[in-house]
Amino acid sequence: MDFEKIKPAVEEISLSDSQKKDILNACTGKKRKFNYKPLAAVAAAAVIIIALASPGFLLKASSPDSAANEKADDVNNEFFLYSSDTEADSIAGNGSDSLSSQSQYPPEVFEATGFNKIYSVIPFEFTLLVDELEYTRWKSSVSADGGMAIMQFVMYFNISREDFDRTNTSCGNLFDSELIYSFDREIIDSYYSVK
Amino acid sequence: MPLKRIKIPPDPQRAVEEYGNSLYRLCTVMLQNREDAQDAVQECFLRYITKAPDFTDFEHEKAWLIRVASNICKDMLRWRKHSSFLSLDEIRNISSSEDNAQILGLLVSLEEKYRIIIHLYYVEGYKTDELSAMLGISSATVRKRLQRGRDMLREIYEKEAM
Repeated sequence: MDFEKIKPAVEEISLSDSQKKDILNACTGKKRKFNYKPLAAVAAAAVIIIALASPGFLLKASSPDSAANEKADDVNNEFFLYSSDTEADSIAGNGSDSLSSQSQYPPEVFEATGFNKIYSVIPFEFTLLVDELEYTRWKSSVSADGGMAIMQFVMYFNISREDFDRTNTSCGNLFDSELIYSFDREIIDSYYSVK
Repeated sequence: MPLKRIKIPPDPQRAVEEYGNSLYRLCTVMLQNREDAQDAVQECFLRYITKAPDFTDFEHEKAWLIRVASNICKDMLRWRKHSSFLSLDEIRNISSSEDNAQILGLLVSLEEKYRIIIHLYYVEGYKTDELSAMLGISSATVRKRLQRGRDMLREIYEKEAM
């Protein structure tokens, strides 16, 4: 089989002018044609469940301060420091210490169900190892499909073991560095899954 | 050394013209459904308007869009309840020749993780290290999936030729 034939075969797929116009209209807010019903239905169901579970949720959401939490991703937000909550449940997962008081409670870079919270976070200290712009760019496109957040971070930015261990120590040994540097997705996912 | 920040202003019209077809091809191959592919492309450009970071150059802009499109497609595949795949007739309508229709048919029959690698490698021309960064997998995994994808395409091709 001649694999070079794949490109011309696929390149015959193209958007028509009217399809491009529909997309542009959607982007400029003129008219959104969206057939992706399942996600919309799930999102609506999630809102209803949250509202029923937390009666004060809607009231809180309508307060002026909540608007600040709804703004679009901003470079500065990536480095915003959260205060650590010593009464919070440990997010570190099996066999690891809870966050030290020196480490800040980090935001999740993506949603990952079935795993401990540590699976989805990049502590602030680690973000200092890389260029701010590069990190923002990477963070906006990463997802749980690629595996644990810190593993993907290490691979993408080629973080040395030495830098990782030093930073991990400053975070109270949040991660099992042997495990992370195995890059064995199966073992890592199993270790950090919710039991 | 920090990258030089040259902000490329988000321009939906330019972006749709430049990358629309590329993203549509990727989404069609991944979702095997033209309507869903158009939704995915639309969602991708909506995220481009609202969430795109500062790009250092157009290659980075394109890579970002491809990565977002592939993530959207993966989410859609997870949530999809129906199976409305590209029929042979649809494939023939897209293609200018029987040969091209056959190749496209083979590609869309692959498992999703091989399909995307083969597409990005042979159609978009990305190298293995670029694919590794884009998809968040190791270079070894990229090479393995590329090899396995080629083997599977060859198997199906030879089976159909018999």
